[in-house]
Formats: sequence, C-alpha cells, structure tokens
Amino acid sequence: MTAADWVQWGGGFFVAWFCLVNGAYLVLNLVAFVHIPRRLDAIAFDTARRNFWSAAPPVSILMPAHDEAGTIVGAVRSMLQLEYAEVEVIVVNDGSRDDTLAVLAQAFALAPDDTPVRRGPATAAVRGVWRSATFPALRVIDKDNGGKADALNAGLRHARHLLVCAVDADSVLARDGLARLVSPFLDDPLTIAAGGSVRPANGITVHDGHVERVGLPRTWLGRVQVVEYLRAFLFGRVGWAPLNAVLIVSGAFGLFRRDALLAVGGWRTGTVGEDMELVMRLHRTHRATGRPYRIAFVPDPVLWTEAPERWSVLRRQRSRWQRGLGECLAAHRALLADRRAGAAGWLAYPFFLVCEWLSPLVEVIAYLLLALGWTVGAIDGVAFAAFLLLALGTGVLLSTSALLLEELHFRTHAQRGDFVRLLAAVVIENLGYRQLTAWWRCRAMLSAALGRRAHWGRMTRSAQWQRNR
Amino acid sequence: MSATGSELLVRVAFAIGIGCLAMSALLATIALLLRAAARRRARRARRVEARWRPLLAASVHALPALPALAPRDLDPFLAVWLPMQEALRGDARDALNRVARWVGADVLARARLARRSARARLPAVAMLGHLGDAAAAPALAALMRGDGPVSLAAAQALLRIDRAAALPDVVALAAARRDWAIARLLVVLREVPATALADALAASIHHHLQPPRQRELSRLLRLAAIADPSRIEPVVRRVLDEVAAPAARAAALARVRHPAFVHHARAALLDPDGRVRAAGADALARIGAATDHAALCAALDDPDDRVRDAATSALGRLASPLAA
Repeated sequence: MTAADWVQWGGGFFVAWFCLVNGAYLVLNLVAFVHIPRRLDAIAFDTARRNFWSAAPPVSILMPAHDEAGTIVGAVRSMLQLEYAEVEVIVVNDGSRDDTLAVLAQAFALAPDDTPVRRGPATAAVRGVWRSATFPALRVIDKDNGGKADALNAGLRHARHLLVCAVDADSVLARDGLARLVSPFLDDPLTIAAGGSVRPANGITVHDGHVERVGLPRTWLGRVQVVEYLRAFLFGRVGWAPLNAVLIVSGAFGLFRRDALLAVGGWRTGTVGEDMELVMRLHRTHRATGRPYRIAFVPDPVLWTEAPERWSVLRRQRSRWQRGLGECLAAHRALLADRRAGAAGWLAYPFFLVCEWLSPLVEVIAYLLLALGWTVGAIDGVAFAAFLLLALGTGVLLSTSALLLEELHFRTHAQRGDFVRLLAAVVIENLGYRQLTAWWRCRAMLSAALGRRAHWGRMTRSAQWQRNR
Repeated sequence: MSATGSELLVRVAFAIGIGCLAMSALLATIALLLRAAARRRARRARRVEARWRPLLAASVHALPALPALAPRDLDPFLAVWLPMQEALRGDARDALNRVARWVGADVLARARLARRSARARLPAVAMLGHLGDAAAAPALAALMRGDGPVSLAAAQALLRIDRAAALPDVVALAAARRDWAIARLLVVLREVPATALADALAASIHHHLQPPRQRELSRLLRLAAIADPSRIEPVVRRVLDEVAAPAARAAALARVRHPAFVHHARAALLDPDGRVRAAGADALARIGAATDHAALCAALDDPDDRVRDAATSALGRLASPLAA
C-alpha cells in the first residue's frame, strides 16, 4: 500500500468512527426524547401537590467540604430551605486549610455534639462533631483530610436516615430538587441509587441559598459548558436509565440507599472517579448476588454548581475526569465479560470505553493526521473541508438536539436572548473548544499510562453567583 | 482504496456534515418557534390570571360580574382557582365552586378528561373533586382503574365526591397497585377521617389474611399509619398471631402502640428476619419497659444495620434500669 492508500483508509476509518460514536449518542438522544416526557408525566401528581413532600422518606444530605469558606454558608442554607419534610444536613469539613469551619461556626452557632456513630468504612481521624444550635438538623464533622470519598464515608457513618444524598459544597439545590430526586425510590422499592441533573451556576442569582433568577454565564467559556452539561445530563445519562444501565451518578448530586452503600463498603478512596466507581461497584455486586435492583436517573431535579471559567482550572478538571473514567473502566473491566451484568456490561461499559474514554484519542489523531495530510498534499482542500464539516456537523447536531430537549421540557434559561446565545455557544463549542478538551484528555491518558498519580488539584472558586443579593 | 473510493468517502463526509448542519438548523428553528409560542402562552396566562385572581378573591364575599371562560383559558384559570381552593375552607370554598360552575369550568374540566396527556388532565381531575361533581364520577372511576398519575388523582377526586362509596374501592386498589406509592397514597387518604379509614383498612386486612393474598398486607398496614390506632389494633393482633410473612409482621409491629403487644415486640427481637427484628426494637421504644434494656443492648451487635439503628434509638427513649 502506498502512502496515499494509507491516508485514504485512515480517512475511511475516521469517517466511520465519527459516525459510530455520534450515532450512538444520537440513539441515546432519541431514548431521551421518549423517556423525559414519560418521567414528567409520572411526577405530575407530586408537583401538583405541595403537601406531597410531607409523606416522603427522610433524607440525610452529606456535603463534603474542602477549602469552601466562600461558598459553604450559601450551600448549607440552600439545603436547609429545601421543600422537604425531614432532612438532616451533615457537612464534613475535610481538613480545610481556610476558614471553612470557623465560617460555619459563626453562621450556624455550632456546639459540640455526641450523637453515636455507626460502624462503617474506616476514615481519616475525626477531630470533632458539632451541631447547630439554631438549625438542629445541621451537623458538622471536622476531620483530617482524606479526600472526597473519605469525607463522604465519614458522613455516611453519621447519617441517621435510610436515604443519603451526596452533594457538593459549592452548589445550590433547587427547592424541589430533593423531592423530585426521591421519586424513583417511591415508584420502585428496588431503587438503590438515583442521579439528578447538574448545571453550571455561573450566571444564576442566588439569595440566601435560594435561586432567584437563572441567567447565562458572562463568558463564552461558561456558556459552552452550559451546553456541555445539557448534553451530558439530558441524554448522556437519561438514555441509559430505561435499561438500568446508568454507570454514573454524579458525585455532585446523587441519592442512595444507606444500606446499599454500607453493604458495598461506601465510597472507594484512592481514585478521582469515586462517583462512577461506586455505581459500577453497585452494579457488579448486585448482579453477582442476583439481587434485583435499579439505578435511576431523573433529569428534572437540578443542582447548580460552579463551572470553571479559567482555562487552567478547566484543564485540571477535564484531566481529572478523564483519569477517573480510565481508573473506573480498568477497575471494573470484569463488567464487560460478566454475562450477568446485563445492559450495564454489554452495552453501557463498551459505550463508555469507546465513545467516552477512547474517543478523544481517536479524534486528536484524526485532526493531526488531517492537518499533516493537507500539509504534505496527501489530502486536498476539498477532502480537508469535508472531514472538518463532518466533525463540526455531528457535534453541532447533538448539542442542538440537547437544546431542543431543554426547550421542550424545561425551558430553564428563559431570559430573552439566552437561547440565541446558547445556539452560538453550540457552534463555538465545536470550533476549537471540543478539540482542546480532547487534547487535554489525551494528555491525561498519557499521564496515566506513564504512571503519574492523579490528584484533585485546586479548584479556584469565584462564587460570584453566591454574592449576588 | 481507489480514487473513486476516495471521492466517495469525501462525498459521504460532505453529505453527512451538511445533513447534520441542516438538521441542526431545523431543530434550532423548531426550538425558537416553541419558545415564541411558549412566550405567547405565558403572556396570555398572565393576563387571564390577572383578570381572575381579584374576581375569585371578591367572590368569597359576593358573586361579582363574571366574564366568560374560554376553553383555552382553563389552565391559567385553574392555576389560580386550585391553590385558592386548597387554601380556603367552608363558605369561601363553596363560593369558589359556585364561580367555577357559573363560568362553565366544570363542563370544560369534564371534557378535558378525554385528553391523553396526564399533565392536561390532572388539574381538571383535581377541580372536579373539589366541586364534588357527581356527573364526572363514572369517568373518574374509569381513570382510577387506568395507568399513570391520573389514576391516583382520580381516586382522590372520587373520595372528595362521595367518600363512602369510593373508599372501599380505593382501599382495594391501594392494596394491589404497586404503582401507587405509599407516600402518595398517604397524601390522598389523609383527607379521610381516621375512624372511617381504619374501618375500611381493617375490613380489607381481614380479607387479606389468608395466602395468597398476604402480599398486600404490608401495604395496608403501612397505610394504617394515619388511621385510628384503636380501631386497627384488633387486626394488627390477628396479623401478629396468624401471619408468618416477615414484611407483614414488620408492618404490623410498626402499628403497635398498646402495652398489651409488648410480648410480640420482645419475640420479634429474636426473629430470623432483620426487618422484623428492627420493627420489634422500634416497637419496644414505644411500649417497652426498663426490663427490655438488656435485650436492646444485645441488639446493638446485630449483623443487620437497621436493627442496630432501631436498638440505639430505642435505648435512647427507654428509661435506664439504673435510673430506677
């Protein structure tokens, strides 16, 4: 074969790859178009009745916090104001180096608490447990730094209720968010976990923990992430729910049965993808023992969390996510070969392996070879334009359909001009942003292959949206 | 690959790319049109609500001059009428019902029952229940036996229209329908007087004491949480004495309040099933004595997390034998 043949076969491969990967996303998209209206119909009884929440099961909210002095009070207030009958909030101060604990003590009048703690996963040393004198449903665990998973396990041991909800400390939950997230547990007693939607908080207005107005981030980097999150949550997760093949419940917003978590040993430390790792372990454990179960995803409850609007922070975040994904896929590769794994094993796992983990590498190689081929004259301008158009067109289609889903069912960004700005973000996302994040993810894969340790890095928060009053 | 193959590949790539962009433009246009339509609907709804809110508020004292209600204004009208209905009592509620009938909202609501969308039917079902619209009862009964959230809303409406006639059917369905979540049923049945509910549940529990109907017992006993406990106790005793199914026994133990059940609770602590042991510990928290302290301390080492939790809570509520 000549060099030109290699270029042509390579081109054929990449065209087929783009079609395969985007075709798979399109199928998830179509599933979401059917599933979302059914879901909204199913909860219509609840949303029409405010007093429904009084009969919902009590929930323990676990909020790990590390250096969150700027956002923690607003986040805690958001949880304490939820439209829900019985909630306890457990903040786990995971060895913060800033004033997180002092800020909490001042805002909520903390006093020492001696509630017994149950047996459970071992954690880093707990220095003290505090309860709010003004909000008795709030407790704060102060412990040595052990990471997010370790902090969640510490909270799990202190949780009193059957359901536990893990949320991020830099987030605000819509008032009816928890009530909506609990509905899969009411509909099906076999439900052991349920995930909700996460959206960028940049651009919203929050007053005393309550979302007053939803706007778009001021930067195009933030707006592009709004589109990304819509795509990821409105069909990237929803599409798997009917098959009981949801492989990830976001660590920022997930509801679990406490006994199911304790039975698998809680969250695993030592990985940066602890949320996906937990869900995959839940699948494997229940499938191995033949216990019927369900892991749900519901698109309507929304948790707002800050998205990075600085390139360096975004790069670290995306690198961490790619590393975490790789760690989880490696740790649970047995799912692929397990005949008992169901759709989680034979469909979802290969999807995440190919379309999420491997795809950035193939995409970057495709762009590099395209550029190289054009430079050396192996690919003419027409072919170059055709392949770029293919990459752009498929990406734009998926993002636009996510916007349509959002418009059909939620219309969260209802301000005049927001939709047009989001459409513009769809185009911008595919003209450099996606390619850049693919490059970062490739570097993360290389770093993992070279055995460099993954770490959380420092998430610099502006918390501008929490200062809006 | 041949030159022809290469050209074909380029054409395929172009076609897919252009096709995707064209489809994206179409989807974006649809979304924009939907947004424009939603804005128009929202503006009209705000006008309708602004017109009807003061009229409905004034109707509480005297019937004002009322405009006609167009069919497409039913939803915004109900958006104001339903919350007012649920917030008011007595004559004020009756006044709102008179307004609804006067403007023909009941007729529109009955017509709405034939729609397929749950979200379109639900407010209409709720209105007909508040109106006590007996003419809608047959249609509501059919909806109650159907699927989806409308079925439970129809049950609630029928209980409001004619509680005595509807309650036995609703309880029978509540026992069998796993799609009617207990939490939602409690909201519906909370409107029924505790004694009437207790009698209906007791009758249904008697009916379900023999296998294979015992599956429904635990559901019925959980619904009894809002019923008159004194009228439920006889059937609870029968369940604890005659039924072996752990789910039913645990649900029965959750209903015990009288000290006469204490030996059932103590025996439950030794049951092979963790649910029953946990329910036994919970029951001892309510009716136990200081002499149960030792047994509850032993339960702190139970392999089942639920039992340990219940024992911890019970120990906190019982007096310590050292305090005597």
